[in-house]
Amino acid sequence: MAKNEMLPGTLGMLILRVVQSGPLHGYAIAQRIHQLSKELLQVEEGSLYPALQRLLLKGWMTAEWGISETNRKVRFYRLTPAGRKQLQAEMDDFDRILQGIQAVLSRA
Amino acid sequence: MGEFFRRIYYLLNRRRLERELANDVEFHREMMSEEGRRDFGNTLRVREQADEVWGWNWLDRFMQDIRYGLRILRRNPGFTLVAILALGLGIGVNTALFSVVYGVLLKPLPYAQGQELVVLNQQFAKGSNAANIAFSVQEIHDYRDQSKTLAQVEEYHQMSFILLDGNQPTDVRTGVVSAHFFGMLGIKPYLGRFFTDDDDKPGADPVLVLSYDYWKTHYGGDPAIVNRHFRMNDKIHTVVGVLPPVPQYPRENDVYMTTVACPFRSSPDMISHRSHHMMGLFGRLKPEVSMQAAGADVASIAARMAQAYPKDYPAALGFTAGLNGLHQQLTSKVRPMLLVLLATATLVLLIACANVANLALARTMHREQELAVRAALGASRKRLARQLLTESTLLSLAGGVFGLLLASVSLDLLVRFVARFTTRAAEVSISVPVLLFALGLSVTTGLVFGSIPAFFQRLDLLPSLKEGSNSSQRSTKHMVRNVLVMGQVALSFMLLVGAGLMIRSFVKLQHVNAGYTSNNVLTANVPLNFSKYKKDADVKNFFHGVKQKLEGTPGIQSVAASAAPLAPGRPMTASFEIEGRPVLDGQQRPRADMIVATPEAFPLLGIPLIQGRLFDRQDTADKPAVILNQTLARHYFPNEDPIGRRIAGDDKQWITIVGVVGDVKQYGLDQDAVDSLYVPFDLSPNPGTILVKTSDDPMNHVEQLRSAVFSVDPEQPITNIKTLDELRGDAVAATRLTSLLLALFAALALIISATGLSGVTALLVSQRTREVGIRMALGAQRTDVLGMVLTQGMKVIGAGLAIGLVASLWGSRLIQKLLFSISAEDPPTFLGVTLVLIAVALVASYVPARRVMRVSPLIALRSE
Repeated sequence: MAKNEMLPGTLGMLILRVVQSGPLHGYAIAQRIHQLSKELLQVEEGSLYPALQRLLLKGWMTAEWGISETNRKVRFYRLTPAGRKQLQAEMDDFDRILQGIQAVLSRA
Repeated sequence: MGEFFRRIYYLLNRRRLERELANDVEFHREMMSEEGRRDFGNTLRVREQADEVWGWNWLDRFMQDIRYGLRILRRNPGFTLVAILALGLGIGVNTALFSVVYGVLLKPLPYAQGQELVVLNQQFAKGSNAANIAFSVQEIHDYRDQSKTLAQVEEYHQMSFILLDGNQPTDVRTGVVSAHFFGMLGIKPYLGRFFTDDDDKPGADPVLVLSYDYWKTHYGGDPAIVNRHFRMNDKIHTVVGVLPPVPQYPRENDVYMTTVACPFRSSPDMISHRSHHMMGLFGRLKPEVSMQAAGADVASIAARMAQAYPKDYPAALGFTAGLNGLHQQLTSKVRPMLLVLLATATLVLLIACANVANLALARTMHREQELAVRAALGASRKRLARQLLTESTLLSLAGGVFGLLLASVSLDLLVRFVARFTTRAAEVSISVPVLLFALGLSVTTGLVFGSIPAFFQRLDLLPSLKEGSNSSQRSTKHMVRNVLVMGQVALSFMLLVGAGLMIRSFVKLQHVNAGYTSNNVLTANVPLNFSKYKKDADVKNFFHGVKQKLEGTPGIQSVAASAAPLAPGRPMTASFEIEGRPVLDGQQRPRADMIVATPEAFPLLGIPLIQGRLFDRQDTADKPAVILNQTLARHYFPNEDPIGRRIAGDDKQWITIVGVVGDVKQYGLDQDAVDSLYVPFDLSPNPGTILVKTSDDPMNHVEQLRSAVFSVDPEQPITNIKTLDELRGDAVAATRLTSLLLALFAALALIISATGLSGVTALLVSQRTREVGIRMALGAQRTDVLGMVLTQGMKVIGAGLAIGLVASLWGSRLIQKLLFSISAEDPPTFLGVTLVLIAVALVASYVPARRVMRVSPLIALRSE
């Protein structure tokens, strides 16, 4: 995972972001992050599933049964209104921090 | 908030959610392998990491620890049993004593705002007797009218009257109180009503309030009791109410009446004399008033009284007043003893703790392999320590249950013991705070003794897996064990010293020469109905009637009237003046106990005549006589012959001293005799105590006494039937029971420590088998190796003894108050205890050490 290391604390935000457009199962979430990041980021199951549990516990997502493309029963994760709000807040925070970092990097 | 409930939801639905999570992870794997990415890792780890987020894994581990701990304990029944027994005994004695301490010392009084209730006291601080004196009617009015800090001032005194309800005449303990006494305590009637101001006005119809117990036992809890009429003191009394079942302070009574109904309290003489002290005085502080402020207020009232009535309060005697919290007053006698007992019980628990820690430590030595394997498989050191602590807490909780059982069984005994010293004993029970105490104590105990092996459990895997190697860790543990044994020996020493001192006090107390012989004497009180026996001649006739009836019957040797030594209560006191030594104004007149006695009383009680003669027929109303005890004679006639001298009482009639008799310890074996005067019964008959000397067990003659009294007056009750031996037994009961309890604790401690010592020696022997084998192969004698092992054990014991000695010299001062006529550093006790401990220690280490002698060199060398 070393080469695909993410900024700490951003995994939750990424997960929330990819399920914003509709419920996804765990594997699809990992895939989507991988694709959207131009294969830069890879989410291992060892960090994905604990993160999903944390988001469920916070009430930002719910899980519901569905059928996968391979015709198997699996849980799909859906964003809740509270999750949507949380996502927005985290994205705003992230933007601000990024701007700050960039400002420092470009002028120093 | 939502998250909290979701966590609970996850806890409750864990099985299903775990299955769902597992399904997710499996699906993930399937998809990965479909894409050709293989991962052979264990899904379990992923799942565990994920459900760690739910925050309930500690519970799992905890339950695992418990299950595992229970299995371990079941597999070592010997250790488990010994540990539960030792801890149970320790926790049991502490719980039992705590329930008493809680009920008596800690719990607030069962009255509304009990902390505001106070007891007033007054005394002549500079008089020859600085003890508290009771209050007179006039003083009560002064305190009530002038106090600025007390919301209420109420009086109380106790009398014994005869109650006639148409059945058997009964002698009832009667509390005589002012109208709002119960209101001050803040209690509500169980039935009917309490007293009103109208009930307590002169000339009011006498009314009664019954105690709950008396109503239940004598009238079967009949609600029609209200408005019933009883005859007391030749007047009709109407029952107006019943008290609720609350403990009664200051004393238990059967019935209560108002001050105007008590013939003594309402007599004109009593009301008009400021110096007629008889009543007790209680009060309730105004809200927000401190005890100190109220004390100062009461003292200033006393000072004003002393100024206004110098005749009644001679300045030289330093009249003063103060007050105490009711709670403090009720428990002051029992407090030091209870605290000593609780402290010693704590020592017992400490010993039990040290002992079980020792056993547990020995066991972890055997378990080193098991623990090392677990560590090798990935258990953290923290986890293993937690496992050991869980086991020890399980043990101590089991011990706690056993202890609670012990406590509830022994509580009755303790309550009866404490009831001798405080009326609060009735409030002792295994209540919720006591249960919490037992629980807290059990958990603490488990953590304390469990943390010792847990702390010294090093997980150096290699040496542990190679069993039998003598790593340095072993010697650390060995040192810890030695320290624990040393501690046990030291603590046992302290307990034994305490018990020894108490037992020696008790023995000394028993052998005190009290100045009379107590065997084969029956005593009883006949509280004569004073309204019936108005004239002296009536009282005289009654007594002589009974005496005549009794003296004719077999087994009765003699009959007398006098005061029974060591009986509760005090005889009257009288002030007097010696002829030729006038008492100046402002000086105190000599005072002495006045005992009314028939001449037979002296030989009956074995009181020796020192000088002069006993009472006889020469003593008449015109030529009255008095007998002194030796103390009084020495006190007032140190260098002269008192016989023939004369003294006078308040009535100024001169009375001739005809004899001097030996001293009697009237109030307690540990108290010196006080100045006493004996006056002849025939001249001032007083319904005191009847003494009957019998030729065999006095209790066989109770019926004879009853029928003799009944034949003279069928309406006359008899109370306080006891033998003088019993009274003497009662007088030493407190010391006897305290020594018994301390001896019990010390014995427990000794047994527990002895087993601990045995265990340590046994381990020492088994560890040195190889060395012993070599020594013996090289020619050492069996007795030499035995000596070697014993010496090593004795070093530990010696150190324990030294520590115990120093600690006891310091600690025994704490029980000085409970001792009688020996010092807290009594050398024979210390020497004896040392010898006992050494003997027990020798036996305890000899038994396992003997095995050394049976070691065969060949087997020993092969043993490792």
